[in-house]
Amino acid sequence: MSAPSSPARRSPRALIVTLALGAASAALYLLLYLSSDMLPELSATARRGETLYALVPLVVAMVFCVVHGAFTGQFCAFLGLRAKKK
Amino acid sequence: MEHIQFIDLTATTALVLFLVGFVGGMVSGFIGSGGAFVLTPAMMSLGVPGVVAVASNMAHKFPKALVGAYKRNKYGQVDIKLGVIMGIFAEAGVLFGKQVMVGIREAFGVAGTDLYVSFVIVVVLGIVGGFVLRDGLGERRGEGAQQELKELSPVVRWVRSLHIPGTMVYFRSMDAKVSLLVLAPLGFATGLLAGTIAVGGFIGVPAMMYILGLPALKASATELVIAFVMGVGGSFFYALDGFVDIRLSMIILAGSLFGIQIGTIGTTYVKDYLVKLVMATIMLLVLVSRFFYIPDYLSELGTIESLPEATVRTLDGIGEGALAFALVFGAVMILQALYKGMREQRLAEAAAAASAAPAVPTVPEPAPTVVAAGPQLSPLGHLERFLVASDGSEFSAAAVREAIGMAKECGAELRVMSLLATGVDYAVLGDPILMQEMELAQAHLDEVKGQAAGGDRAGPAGTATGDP
Repeated sequence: MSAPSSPARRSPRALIVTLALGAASAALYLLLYLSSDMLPELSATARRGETLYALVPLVVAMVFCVVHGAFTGQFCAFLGLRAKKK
Repeated sequence: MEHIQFIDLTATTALVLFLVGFVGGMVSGFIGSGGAFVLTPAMMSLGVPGVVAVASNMAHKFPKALVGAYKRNKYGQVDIKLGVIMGIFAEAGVLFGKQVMVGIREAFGVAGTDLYVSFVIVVVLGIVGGFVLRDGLGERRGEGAQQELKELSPVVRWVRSLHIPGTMVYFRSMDAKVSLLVLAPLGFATGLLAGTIAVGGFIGVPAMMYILGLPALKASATELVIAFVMGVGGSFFYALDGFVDIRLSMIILAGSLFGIQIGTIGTTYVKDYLVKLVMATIMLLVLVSRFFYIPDYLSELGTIESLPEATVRTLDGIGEGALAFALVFGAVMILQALYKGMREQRLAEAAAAASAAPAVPTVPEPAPTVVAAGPQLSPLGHLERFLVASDGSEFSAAAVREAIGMAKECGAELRVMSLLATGVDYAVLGDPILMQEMELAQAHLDEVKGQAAGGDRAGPAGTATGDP
């Protein structure tokens, strides 16, 4: 259903959900920053034949996409960015 | 063998990558492609080796493809069987493409892979950008969008008439059997391009449309399954050789997921031909940008005479300038379309609300002595209740306005309803999202109730939920 245009979209509940998802996303990126020296090392380890380390980028990409994707969707909805009603 | 070096990630590089991801995401959401044809050259311009740019792009793309495929599957647009089979063949293409890349790197070093990737980008963007530009200009002149074929083309008929025992598979999207031997080269070519420049859709989508006869919507949706299957495998293969710089992938993803939302919303406010013209312009600007790097790569490889440092700097500067212009142009066009479209929408909604206002009398009118005895719209009977559905759009606002007027005229009760679609998505997202949607719908119904509260009998306003 097209969401009705209403200031209710910016309800306290929506704000809490947006902030919670934003915090989760920020935490992941903080973790990425703290591991930024270790990640190239993992790549080098995979290159040396430790096959399991090649799975690390796949898992990281999936987790970031789900959490950050949920946050960006909620954030844009909170700002009132919405598709044109046909 | 030359050792692959990941770039140093400074705050400035991270910020630039985020912005590049944001604009790339906007462009990708706006034109409905993966956006890697912008991101791969942009990463290379920041000094990322071509092979790392391709591998890192692939790693940031496959989760997005999975989410996109899941969403579009709800609308019945995805042929999962076709996507998985093509994806497996594409996997072979990616593997082959990666081996070519590794072979070139071993033989010619990083400059060799940079030249190879740049050359393929120039050729592919030249061909695809040219076609898109021609289409867009044609539509702008009013020649109309290319119609989906009502009748199957001779190529599609021939492909579907092939019967090679032991290789035939039935596909629901085509309602026909197609030989795996036809799908193999199509999937392989898609994967080969994806393994070379991280963009496979430029082959996969047209192949499914013009060779297999899938409608455009199903072809682009099924391509997401292919992108996911080959993206997972491709990222893993590249990661085995240590080419995936996941730091770059995730910073680009951070900007890209914001950009995609804006780009996708932006498309709903513009005409099709504008999307195509923006797409073609960006493609051709990226092509021009990459073209200016080629002499430097040739010089590094010793194919041409060594270029003076000043010449290299000038050429790189022009290339960076063209790319920056492409990104800024795309961003400005999309943001402008979004801003203008949303403003017009708000004005239209305000106008609809204003025109609804007179239906609710502000000055009390002489009350009818007997409400039920008011004039009737039907000569056959007495209308006692009206039911109107509203989703809050300006079109339903007009229906609500009429319903209020008719109910007043008949002295009838008015019931208003809104419907919320629920299903697997909401089960995944959880109750809070559904509750939020219900609150929005209820708030809208309360607004309608307020509009109607001018003397008539406003009946219950309610929401209903259902799995479509």
